[in-house]
Order: sequence, then structure tokens, then C-alpha cells
Amino acid sequence: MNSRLALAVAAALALQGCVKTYVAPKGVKTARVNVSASGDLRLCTQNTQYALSRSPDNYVEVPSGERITLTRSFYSQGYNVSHSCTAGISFIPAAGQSYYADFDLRSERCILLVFRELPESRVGVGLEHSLGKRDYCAN
Amino acid sequence: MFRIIAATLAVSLLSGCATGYHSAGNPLLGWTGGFWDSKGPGELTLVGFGGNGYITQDKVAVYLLYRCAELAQAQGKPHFRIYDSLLSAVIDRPLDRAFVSPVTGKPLGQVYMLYEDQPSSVTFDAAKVLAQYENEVKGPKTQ
Repeated sequence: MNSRLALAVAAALALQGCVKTYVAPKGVKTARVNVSASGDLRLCTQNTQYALSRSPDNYVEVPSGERITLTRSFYSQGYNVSHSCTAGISFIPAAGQSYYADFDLRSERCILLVFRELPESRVGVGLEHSLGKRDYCAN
Repeated sequence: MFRIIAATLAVSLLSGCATGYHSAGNPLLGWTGGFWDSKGPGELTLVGFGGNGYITQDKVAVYLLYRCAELAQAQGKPHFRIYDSLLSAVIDRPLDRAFVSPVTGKPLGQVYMLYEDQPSSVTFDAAKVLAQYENEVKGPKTQ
């Protein structure tokens, strides 16, 4: 029983991945990202990776005014075939702006895109012009 | 006896049938796949249909388009347009057929859908789609 408990604790710690959750430092202006369609994202900023804490209305807070990378990992299994992928995208959030992250799976590939939220538009979002290639975090 | 009947029924259900037309949340059959939808962003609705390894991509495309037509009719909207991605919706490049691709060897179709009151060259007529594919989706009506 003790070994099962120890295994469960070890598994929980391993799954947690020792990644800190991002908390904006005092005085840092932030932007918000709607993650209702993307699932849980990771943030890479200043060469450090963070988990993101989701608010009850499915938004996460990210730093603004600098290029950041958001990533989303996916794993699926079926018919003795497993598939995993990690999609990422970088952009420069504007302070106070809200964004919409969209994760899409097609032809065994995964894609993560970020749009600006535009409540006045019929489709609710518009193009974000600062999108760029993802950065890879060392830490 | 009841257990034997239940077990037999379960085995027959589990024995490699292609995904039928039903909700992915169906408690009996949802494990094989099915349709789902979610609202947003804006007026868009994301509609999906996931199949198992026994259903063709063409069939999933028909089921997906049929589900879109059902949703449009339920909303009292006679027409709708579909997009293969949110990016296509933003730049307004609609599809003329539902998009389906394999994920882990199983066909997965999903489209963003926008309801329309008026027809145009890029909209589907919900009533026509339902009539065209009813037999294929629900099976021929018995007299």
C-alpha cells in the first residue's frame, strides 16, 4: 500500500513537470488569452517556461510588450498507433488587449494560432499581425 | 440470464461497427465517435464529427454536413456557410464541402459554421442538405 502511495505521489510530481505557474510581476502590464478552444497552454518568455493558470471564464494572463511563445501539446492513441505533437506560435501581446488561441488538428498535424478578439466582428476575432515562429525555452 | 443478454448485447455493439450518426456524448455508442458542437468565437459554431477505423472519410463528410444542416434548422436559419479553420473564417474563405482528415488513423471532420438568413453563392441550403442526405444518414424510410 505504501509503495502504491509512493508511486502515485511520484507520478503526480512527474506529471506536474516542475514548471512554475506564471504570475505577472507587480507593475508589469499584461494581456489576456482566451483558451476555451485551445486547451491548456504553456508560456515561454525570457527563456523560461511557465504553466498558465486559467480563470473561471477561460482566460490566461500573459506579459505584454515583448515577444512570447505559447505552446500546446497533444497526445492521442488508437488502433496501436499513437500520435503526439506540440504546436507553438509567438506574438507580441499589447497591454490590455484580449486574444483568442485556436488549436487545430488536421492530417496528423497540430496547429496553434492566436487571433485578436474583436467582439464587433461576426466571427469574433481578427488577424494578429505580430505572429511569428515559436521560441524554444532553455529553462 | 439478464447478465448474459447484456453481455451479448455489449459484445455485439463492440464488434467493429462503423461509427453511426449519433452524438459523441451518446452513453451507449459515443465511444465509437459521433458529432459534437461548441459555440464561439463570435457567431461561429464549431461542429465536428469523429469516426472510428471502419468509416470512410467521405461518409464522415456527409455526416458532418448533415449535422450542420440540422443545427441551422434548429436555430431557424435556412442557410449556412462552413469554413475549414478559424483562419479561413477570419479571411472569409468558405468551403463547398466538409473537410475531413485522418487523426491517429481515424477520420476527423470539423468545420466552423456561420448561420445565414439569405442565400448566396457560398451558402448551403439547410433543407436541401437534409433532404439530399436523409437516406444516407438515417436510412431509407419504411412504408
